[in-house]
Amino acid sequence: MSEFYRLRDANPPPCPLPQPSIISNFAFFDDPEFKKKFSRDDQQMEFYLEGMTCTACLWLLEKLPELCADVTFARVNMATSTIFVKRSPSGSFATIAGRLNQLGYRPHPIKDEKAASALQKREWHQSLIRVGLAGALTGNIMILAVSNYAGAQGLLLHQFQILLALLATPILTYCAWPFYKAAWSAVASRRLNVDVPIVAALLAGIIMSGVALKNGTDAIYFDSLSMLVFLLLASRLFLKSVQSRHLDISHLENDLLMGAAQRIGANGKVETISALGLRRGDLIQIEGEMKIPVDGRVLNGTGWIETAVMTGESDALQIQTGSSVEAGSCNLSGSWQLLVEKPLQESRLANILREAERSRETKPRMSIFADRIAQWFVGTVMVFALAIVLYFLGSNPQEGFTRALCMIIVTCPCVFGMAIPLSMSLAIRNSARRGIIITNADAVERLWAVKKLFFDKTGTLTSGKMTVLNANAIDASALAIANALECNQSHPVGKSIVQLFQTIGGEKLTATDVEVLPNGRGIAGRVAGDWCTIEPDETSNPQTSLKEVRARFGLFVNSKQRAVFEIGDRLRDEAKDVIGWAREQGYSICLLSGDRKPIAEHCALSLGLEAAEVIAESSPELKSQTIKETKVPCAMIGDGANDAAALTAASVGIAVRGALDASLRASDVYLLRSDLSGLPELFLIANQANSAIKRNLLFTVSFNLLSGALAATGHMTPLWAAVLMPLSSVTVLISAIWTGQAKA
Amino acid sequence: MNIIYFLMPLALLLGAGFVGAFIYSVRKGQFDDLETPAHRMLLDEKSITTKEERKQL
Repeated sequence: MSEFYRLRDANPPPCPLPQPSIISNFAFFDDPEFKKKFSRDDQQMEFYLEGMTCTACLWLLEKLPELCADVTFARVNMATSTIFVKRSPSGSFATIAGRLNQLGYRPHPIKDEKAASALQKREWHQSLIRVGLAGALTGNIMILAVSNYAGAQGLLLHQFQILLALLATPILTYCAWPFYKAAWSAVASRRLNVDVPIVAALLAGIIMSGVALKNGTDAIYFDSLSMLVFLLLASRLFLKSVQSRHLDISHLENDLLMGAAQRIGANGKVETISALGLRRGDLIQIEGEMKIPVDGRVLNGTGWIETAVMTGESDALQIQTGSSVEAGSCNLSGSWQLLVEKPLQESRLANILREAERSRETKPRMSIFADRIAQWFVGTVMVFALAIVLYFLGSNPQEGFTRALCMIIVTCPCVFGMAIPLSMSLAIRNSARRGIIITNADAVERLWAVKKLFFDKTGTLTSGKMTVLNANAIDASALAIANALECNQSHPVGKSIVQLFQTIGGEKLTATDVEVLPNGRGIAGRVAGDWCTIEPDETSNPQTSLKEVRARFGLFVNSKQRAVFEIGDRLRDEAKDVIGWAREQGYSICLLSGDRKPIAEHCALSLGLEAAEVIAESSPELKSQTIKETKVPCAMIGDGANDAAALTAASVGIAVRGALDASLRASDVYLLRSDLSGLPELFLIANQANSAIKRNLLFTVSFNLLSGALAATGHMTPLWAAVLMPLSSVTVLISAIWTGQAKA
Repeated sequence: MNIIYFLMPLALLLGAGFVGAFIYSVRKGQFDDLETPAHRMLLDEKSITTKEERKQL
């Protein structure tokens, strides 16, 4: 493996070493139900891999056949962080997934949608060929056209003109086909879009040039038209390639809706199957730390579960026979059996996620400001051109047509067709480099309009995990004893103590006779001969005045108190800076929390917010209601399935936690880094892109008013129009690129 | 000047050849992944484990 480390260290910022995930049972990958959905021909599967970042990862992963006998072929795509594997005839996908996980890349299978991906690929190929062909032909046309401008005459001129017309034909038909199609569909639905004037200019130019060619006059514009088509196609391809660089999340099955289950068969035998295969009435065994895949009722046994996915709060809940449990909850401790009442796909969790996804798809897209301007602009130009034609119809139709064409060409709104998409795609690319993924281009513009920011508390402003808050007040020997008691427990309090021990370090002790106190109140055991307990401590005075303390546990050695652990959810380090930044920028801020009022308010105060800016005790439904009732455009910053509805309701939904959280399907933007500092950067990038767009719009409108007026009054020949139009386009393109580079 | 009647079709034919090659490579999927090959070309065809390491595994 030395090569892996050599490559890793040779990359300037060494990527974090991959971490295997806790879930290591991938047996359900071989479940027929599962394979039907995710594998191709039962032989090949594609995975999204968490944690793949650098060349060393690529090297290692493509050597997978050497590391795992079940794989015959592995191919990595770094842009989408995916790996494509073929299994050997006797190979098992479970082994392959387990090996990938062992290497530290948690695999997420990608749905095999053969038809959809083939279609996508064909479209991509076609647009590449269109641009390539248009580029090659335009280049040749430009070279040949020089002779015409340089003064070729007579038969030679005519032959050159015919040649140009022949070369331009594929561009104006095959390559320009997307414009015709888009313009036609716009006209058919009685709208105007940017493609309408482009097509109008193309058609007018083709007819004029065709007539001129036939009559032997020199009003021939095949060269300008070809160049126009090529530039427009190229800028659109650029936008498309920037937008589709990252894996489309919709190809991934939601992580929450997947998993294994231990089904207890009729004969009492336990088998591991895919959670997709569970049916109503099945009995499953829940043991140790695992995700609960269905809605159901506890049949026998007790345990502790965590329901953060649904509530956003990571408190432990006790369950016993008869309690109902929802899919997505996590078992922390205890061993119990669950009777399936609703299979995975019908669970409340699945419904919430489906609802969020559906409402995101049908979210009424605020029409882009530039599009609205374009419609108005295009309409005006068309009316004027028509008026000119009609005005001259009686006296001098030829002059009328020339002036109208002049006007259409010179006012061709390239800023709408090229500069605005370019600004947006540069903004998307620049933010992607900073780990901020913008999933649709118009979010860039909607960010600019945002006036109010809603923050979720748990998991967004706080770390979302229980930690020991009074770490400084605990002495090392007490911590060592507590660690000995808790080191095998999965209760959040126990975990937070173990975590603290691991960061501080200390003598490792062992505990014997460890037992959980009745009702799970605490834990007891013998450490170094002393009987020690950790249990809730209601008597002692608080050591810190922190109201975010959720629970106070005392460590008792032989019934004498040794230490007090104050457990709570810590604020993220950068949270205060981000709130300060939002204040400075003049956004109104609101803390939207599902937590209890005193805790939420305390959290707000320590961030520099006021109590009036807190809405506490909000259910997922209430959160989205609050946002829907907000009059100004707002952004919701949140995480988890409990925020999904609110993220969709906001004009921009920003999901903060990692790349594969339930919330990101409902969001327009997600932060790959698990911290908030990307937020100010995102707004900065969006605002810069939008001011570049506004500047270009202003320039184009004033330029076009002037040149349009000149064309209408007959002070401009079509040749001048064809020269000025690209000049103005180049100006706005340079302006867009310059702004895009400045922040890169 | 008659030479251009020979040279121009020749130039265009050459161009057509390149366009053909481009279309062929697009269809073969050479433009499907624009990022990974740039990294892949930097890697040597080294086997994943040295002999000593294989013993450890």
